[in-house]
Amino acid sequence: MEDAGDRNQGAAQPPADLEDISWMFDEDDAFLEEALAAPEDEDLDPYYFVRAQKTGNRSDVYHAARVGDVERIKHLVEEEGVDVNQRDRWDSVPLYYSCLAGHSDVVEYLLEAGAVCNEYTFDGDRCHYAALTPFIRSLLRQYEQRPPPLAPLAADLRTLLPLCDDLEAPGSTSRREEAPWCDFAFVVAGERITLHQAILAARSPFFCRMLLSDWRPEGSEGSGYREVQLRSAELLPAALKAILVFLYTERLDIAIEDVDAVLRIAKKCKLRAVVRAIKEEQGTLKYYFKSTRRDEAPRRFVLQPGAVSEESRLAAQLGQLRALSVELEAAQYLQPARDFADVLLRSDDKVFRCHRCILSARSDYFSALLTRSESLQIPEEPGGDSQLGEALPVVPVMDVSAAVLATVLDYVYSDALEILAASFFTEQGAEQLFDAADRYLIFPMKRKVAEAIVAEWEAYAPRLEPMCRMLLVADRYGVTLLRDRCLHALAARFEALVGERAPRHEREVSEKLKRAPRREREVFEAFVAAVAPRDAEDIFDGSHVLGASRGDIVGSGIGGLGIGTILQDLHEAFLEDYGGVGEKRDHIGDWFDARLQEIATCAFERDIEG
Amino acid sequence: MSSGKKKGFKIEPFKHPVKMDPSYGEKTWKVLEDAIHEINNHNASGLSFEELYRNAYNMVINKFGDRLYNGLVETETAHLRQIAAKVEAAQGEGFLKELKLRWEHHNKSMQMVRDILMYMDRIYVKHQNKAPVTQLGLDLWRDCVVRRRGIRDRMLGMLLDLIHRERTGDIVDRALLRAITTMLMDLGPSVYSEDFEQHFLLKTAEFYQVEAQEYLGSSTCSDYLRKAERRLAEETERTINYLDPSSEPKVTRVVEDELVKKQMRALVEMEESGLVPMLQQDKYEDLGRMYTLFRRVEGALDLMRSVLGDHVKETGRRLINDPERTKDPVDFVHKLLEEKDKYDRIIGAAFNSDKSFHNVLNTAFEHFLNLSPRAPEYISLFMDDQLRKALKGSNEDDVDATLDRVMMLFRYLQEKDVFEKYYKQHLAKRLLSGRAVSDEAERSLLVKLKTECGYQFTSKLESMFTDIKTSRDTMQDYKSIRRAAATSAASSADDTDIDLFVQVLTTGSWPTQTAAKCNLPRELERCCEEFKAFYLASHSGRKLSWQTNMGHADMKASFGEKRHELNVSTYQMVILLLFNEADSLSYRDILSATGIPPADLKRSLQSLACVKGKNVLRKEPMSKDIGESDVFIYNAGFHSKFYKVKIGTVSAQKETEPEKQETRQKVEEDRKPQIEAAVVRIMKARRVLDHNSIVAEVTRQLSARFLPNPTVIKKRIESLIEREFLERDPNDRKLYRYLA
Repeated sequence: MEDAGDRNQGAAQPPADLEDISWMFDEDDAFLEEALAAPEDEDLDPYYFVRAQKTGNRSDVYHAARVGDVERIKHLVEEEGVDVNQRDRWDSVPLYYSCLAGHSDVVEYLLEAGAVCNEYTFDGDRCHYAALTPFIRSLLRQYEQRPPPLAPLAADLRTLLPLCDDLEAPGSTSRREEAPWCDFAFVVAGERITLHQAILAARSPFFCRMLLSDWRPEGSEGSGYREVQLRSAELLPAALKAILVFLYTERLDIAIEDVDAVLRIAKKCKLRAVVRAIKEEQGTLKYYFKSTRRDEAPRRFVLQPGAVSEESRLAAQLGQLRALSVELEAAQYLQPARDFADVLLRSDDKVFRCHRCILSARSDYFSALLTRSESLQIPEEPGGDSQLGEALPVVPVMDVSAAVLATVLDYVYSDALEILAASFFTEQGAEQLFDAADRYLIFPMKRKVAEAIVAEWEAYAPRLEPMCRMLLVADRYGVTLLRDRCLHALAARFEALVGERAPRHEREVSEKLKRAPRREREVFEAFVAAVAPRDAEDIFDGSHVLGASRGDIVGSGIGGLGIGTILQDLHEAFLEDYGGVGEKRDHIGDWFDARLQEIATCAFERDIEG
Repeated sequence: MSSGKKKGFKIEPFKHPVKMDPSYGEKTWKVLEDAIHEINNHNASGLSFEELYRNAYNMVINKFGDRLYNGLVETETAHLRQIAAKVEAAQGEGFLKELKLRWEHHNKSMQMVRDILMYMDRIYVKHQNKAPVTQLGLDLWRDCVVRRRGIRDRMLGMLLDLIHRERTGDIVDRALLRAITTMLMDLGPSVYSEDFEQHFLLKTAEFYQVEAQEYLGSSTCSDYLRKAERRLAEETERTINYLDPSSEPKVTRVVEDELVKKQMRALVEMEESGLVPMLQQDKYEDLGRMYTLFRRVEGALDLMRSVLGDHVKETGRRLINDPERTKDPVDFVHKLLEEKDKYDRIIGAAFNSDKSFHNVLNTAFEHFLNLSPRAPEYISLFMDDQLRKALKGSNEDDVDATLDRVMMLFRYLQEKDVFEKYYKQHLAKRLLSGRAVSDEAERSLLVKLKTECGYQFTSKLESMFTDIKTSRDTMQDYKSIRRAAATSAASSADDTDIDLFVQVLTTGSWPTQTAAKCNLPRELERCCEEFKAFYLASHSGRKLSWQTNMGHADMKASFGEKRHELNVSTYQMVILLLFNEADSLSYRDILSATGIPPADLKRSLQSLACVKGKNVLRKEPMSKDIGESDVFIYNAGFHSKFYKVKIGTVSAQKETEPEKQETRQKVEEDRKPQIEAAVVRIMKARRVLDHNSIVAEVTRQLSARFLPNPTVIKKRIESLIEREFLERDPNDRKLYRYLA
């Protein structure tokens, strides 16, 4: 390029040979060589014309998507729980940037993680349009075929509604006739749709009011449940079904012709937030398609769960339902009431009002318990006040304490743990929660608890001892988030505990090492003694398989993370944070192993003595 | 379980399971074992789900998962052995019912057990890669009960027996059968197929084999087909009702094989009710049934097709070789058309207009039609007949339809040039004798021929039409000129007013016949000369020659007081005019005076003298044949009812033998140049070609007109080599080269 510059600066004479353009190309331009050496067909080469870069630890998901840093994105999505569908200040999603820049690996990862790419939505269409190579476009199309995965709460509730199967695979022969635990039904156009009062009431104020007044069950239960005929001529059965599916699963995917009918029903059901969201989306679609695609009209209308305001979403509304039940529990009210609870769980003399449908959808254990309790004939509590009507059936729960059960129910209803009682931040409390999660087969709860604890630790840094105990608990129950945090925290304290600096380059170390207090060192010794195998030569020997070293961990995050023993992972954590690269890394690793071995030997000796 | 904290900063990890109370595992297991027993004995009401679940959970958590799993396996196996013994003990009919009942109980209890052991299912089973509880239950049931020696064969035997009974007409308990087969299917597709389906299919095959023999012996083909259809429907219904849907195609295949495939030859060839009689008797329903049944079996339709083809060829051949039929060609073609219609109807109604059958039919027709060398002639005669007579009676559409059908027969002809020749002759006769009733019909037929064979075929025919039209115009001109001449001249020198009508025919288009000589009387000569002058004035450079054998004349004749108008041929006219001079003439006189060729003369004299009711002349001696020494006398006593009498020539519509030979020879002659032209065309394009390829190409190109004989082609090639159009390749004897 310098040649060209010289020529330009010199006399304004054209080069002697007009045909010869080689002066334009610097011979050392490696990029050019690479590009020339690349396969001709840009359709075939997914990496044509694009080079991925790395970003540091501070970039956000948009920047990472733009430059193609897959690891950073993975970390953000899995570890920090970033939503792949969030929009930045220019209203773009990460998928859009990656499509634009042509990073196929990032695109693939984002799609796997649930990024929206449906061509009929605003976001999806933009991504299609922006796709740099046909390869990316084909990826988008591939993932478009299947609906994006539902959030866990929605996915669980979906199992309650056979209607969803119907709509997604119409005409299949194997289809359940009735929703499990249904206690209500609409009859429209000769078809009976079985539903659950609690969910309907929680999601729509209109349904709540009607269920409490006109649609009350008449008399005692008798054979089944209340059926309500809907005979209005304006009511489009398809639209009603779409709304019902939306109420249960937060997914709305309808043909463009049905949007008006759906809007009408949504208005009738007083779903204000939904109405607003639909209108907004309609506006966007109209504008977008008018401006760019004159010939292709959108054929389907898809509403994303995130388009509705937070407090009208499924989790929030079920949380409100729970709150209502809590109020009634506080008032010791045991009869059927306006929260539509239909079973009482009793633990430690505390009674919890619950809904069979939601419990059984969220946990297989509760499903079996509630089914079997009936057949195993748990006798009803002979204490109900018969004047006020029959009390709800009671199911005693003996495995967990009332506090734990309350937390579990919070999680079950709203798929999140906002407020964790203080007692659960200790390792005993945490252990109780983890145990309940395992026992009741609601494994994702462990991660939520871990997140809460970790958040608490950001505020109040824990001391060494509770942290070590927590590490053991986390290891036992396979809660990787917590385990990792503890390991990193320990690694950070390692040099202080050992009283020696790792052999790094001199100029990197500035401050003097502050040695840890004696008590802490003792705690650390005891910890290593507890964790290291006694009879193995190498304390890093993992053959005794303690705790988490079981392979695949349920409920610990995306993908199965390979886990070694505690000490192996401590080694890894230390090297990750302080190790550096290459030879220095090995050097530091050896130093670490040596120190740890010393500590272990000391601890064993003390054990034998003491 | 929980981490205990001892003094002195010792941290205990959770207790290693071995360090715990070793009998913990056993105690917990005992509780669970009792519970499982109770469940198996349907005594579950007193149990607490939560407690049992808790026990199972604790066991797995504390590393007693192995004990739990193995214990489960043992308990269940023992229990199932007991059950199996009970089932085995059941007698007779109750065996299957007992089995069904126990199976249902087993399922229910396994569900309960699975619920209790849910945690183990989720965690332990997955990590240890063992069978989950439901699967375990099924496997154990399969191994301990179903595959048990005493039970397996008995069960199979009873199932097959029930099915057999139903096939022979009894009513059996379908629900029971359904339950048992569902059980087998639930146990696994391999169980279903090995333990039941295989044997079932074998039995089915045996049963239907026997049935087939029976049916064959006792019923006609149509009855057999009906029964076969019914059985197939029955079997399908049976599978829907109480067998696995996957068995359906297999069973259908077996039944089809036994009932249809193995017997198809016997069926088709059955005396008096096989395929051939069905075809003959137009039994559409039976044929349709046979078609649908045979369609399901491979190879059966081929058989049907070949039988049909053979039969059609046979009937055709018989028809052709039947001497009676061939006497009347029109009738012959009618019969052919009828046959074609019949088979078309059959194919349309019974065989669902299957194209392959149409093809077979076409091949067969082509085959036998070309066996008869006179077929082209007959077809042409038929068309001739249609165009002459039939139009008078029926309306145009009918005739059009008939002509369409005949066109179909035309397509089968291989020697289309023979047909062309005959058609030309007949058309010439029609046009000249004014017998073509409807111009439109003729033209439409011409169009049809053109679409079939191309422009070349019909160009000459079309020019024949044009000739007729032109002649009419010419005559109009001529007449107007003559009238003008007549009025202008004071008195015409003619005392005889002969109305002459001349058709001018282009020599190439019309069938050539040697211009027969004939001495025309003076008056006629003069008219002819006038016309010739007139014509050559307008069209110079042409030569006119009079075809006296094709003309006809109207004469006014008086017999005593009666006057008649006679419509006769030119020859006859010339003969009769002789009698203006003399009353009786001998044959030899007439021959010398007129100069008409003897054969024609004899014919004309025959028609004048020997035909009853039209004998204008009397012959002595009165015999049919004309001898050299016959004398002809003017018959004054001729009378007829009509004023106008038409005396036709005794002309054979069919050709006599020598004429036939003649035509055939002409055709052969015509073919030679065509073959040569084709060869030259091909060689010009290809330059070098070997002998076989040439023959193949030539045949292909000429197939639209006729089928050339390879020896003839070879001869033509030799002749072309002589004339230096081609040469033989000096190296390879087989190759030919084109010489420019």
